[in-house]
Amino acid sequence: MKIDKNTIKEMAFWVRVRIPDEEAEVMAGEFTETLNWIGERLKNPEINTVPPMVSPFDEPITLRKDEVTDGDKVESVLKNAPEGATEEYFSVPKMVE
Amino acid sequence: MTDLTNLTLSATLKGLENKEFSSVDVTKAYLQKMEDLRRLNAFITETPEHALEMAKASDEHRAKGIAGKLEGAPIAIKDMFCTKGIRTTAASKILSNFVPEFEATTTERLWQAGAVCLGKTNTDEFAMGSSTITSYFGVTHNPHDETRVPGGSSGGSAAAVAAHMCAAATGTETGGSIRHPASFCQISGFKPTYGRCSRYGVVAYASSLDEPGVLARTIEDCAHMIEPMMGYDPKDSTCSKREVPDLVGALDKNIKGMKIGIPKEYTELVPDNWEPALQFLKEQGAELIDVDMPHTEEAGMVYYVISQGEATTNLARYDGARYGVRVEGKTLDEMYMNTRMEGFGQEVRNRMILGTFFTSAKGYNDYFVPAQKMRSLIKQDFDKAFEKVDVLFSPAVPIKPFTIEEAKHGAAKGRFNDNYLMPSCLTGVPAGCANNGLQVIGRMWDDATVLKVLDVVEMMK
Repeated sequence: MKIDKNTIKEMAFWVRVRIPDEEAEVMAGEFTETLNWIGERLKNPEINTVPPMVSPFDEPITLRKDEVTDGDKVESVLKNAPEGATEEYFSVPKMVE
Repeated sequence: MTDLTNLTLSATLKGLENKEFSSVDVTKAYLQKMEDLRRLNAFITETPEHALEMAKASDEHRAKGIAGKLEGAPIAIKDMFCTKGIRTTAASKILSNFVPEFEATTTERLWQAGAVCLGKTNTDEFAMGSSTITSYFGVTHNPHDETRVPGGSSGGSAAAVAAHMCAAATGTETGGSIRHPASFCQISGFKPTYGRCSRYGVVAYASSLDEPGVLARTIEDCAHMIEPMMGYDPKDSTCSKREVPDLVGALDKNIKGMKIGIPKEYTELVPDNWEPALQFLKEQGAELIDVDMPHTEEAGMVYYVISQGEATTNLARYDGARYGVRVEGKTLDEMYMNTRMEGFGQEVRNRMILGTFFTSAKGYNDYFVPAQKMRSLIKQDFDKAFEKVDVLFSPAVPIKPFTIEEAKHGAAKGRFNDNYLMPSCLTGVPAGCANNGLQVIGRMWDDATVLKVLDVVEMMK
């Protein structure tokens, strides 16, 4: 598995952060090395004998009833909104011309 | 009058009960200590006025005879727990202005039990690290040697407990973040079984690993502190309905006939007190049994894949639109980008970038799912060991705290830093570190036995 600079830059875009070319280059080299090492460890045939472990929680997960338990907290929800929020809305830069 | 900050949490509760001093007295003593030792940078936010109000209320409760289990005891909260009306930052710039409108379930229960909040402690940013050096609010210093790190990520809590700036503190573990700083600061730390404590209101890092827990000067103090935090919470679907055990009552100092497993994979490097500890446990009547945990070595790799994959998902929520710091941009994407570049530190950004790979189709099929299968094999190691023994015993972190400079140059990447801690995080079993740096790991839900054995380990001279 080889990860190049452009893949790193693309992944950075997916999580909406920037990374300078030089850093991306270094990260690509290190990550390729790490992935190859991990890939070797994961070749262990034993892993085909077990299911993936998604969570340590070993009890059945029960869901709550799908019903409203609270609400009408507009003021509270907007309390930490960045500047520009109006009475009922968050504000973001204009998206449609 | 003796310095009230020298009392353990247990002794503080006894003194309060016997009316030897008031909660206001002991709270004032801790607030003074916090001021005197501010240079350690253990706290991100101090809440002295709030603490004194809570202490007054506690004294009134005691006067009326309605004392909770922690009534009047001054404690600190890792800044990963949302506290209503008190800034909660996760040591990140992106949350540096965030004042929650809600309270984490575990801290809510601490306040219901009568605890007094002294403030919010420092941590690595979003709890990602084991040195407390990636905090936006600066490095925390180890009180035993200020040129060294306190460990992490709950390093602020550990330093505060070790320097007697609080009677006890909360912490969180994802890959060892309670036991690691407990070991580095020579105090006790305990993380219960995954599912004992609600994660509601705890800033999420990697949800299948994150666990609230405690740090204190003794294991008995840890038991006092953790018990009220446990129990079912409908707000967390992975929180168990099991009854909360009597943890303080379980500390009977008797381990006669108990089978204690020594995993050979955990003894490659041991501290000086290791051999005397084995001798001591035998003298206490325990039977020591060698066990094999053959997949231990894989834990670091599995943790790397799973924690980064889950972190990427969890940290997607910080977009500058609804709360936290926003950096404007001409378009929505530019605003996201500017906000996240400015708001997150480099370690967090790097982990998110790499985590993206493990949640992509290729990364998921070729790495994430196979890593989850390896996680099952690590779990099997524990299951097999616990067929033969009651608990496992090992060093927690067999190395000495590194200097702040060494930490900045990657000292925490050494394999003995956390490889005795990670397997128990991946599998969710209860585990704790005694104040002499030795660790006990138990069966799922058998938190009481882990604390009981650790309590005996702390009797060792």
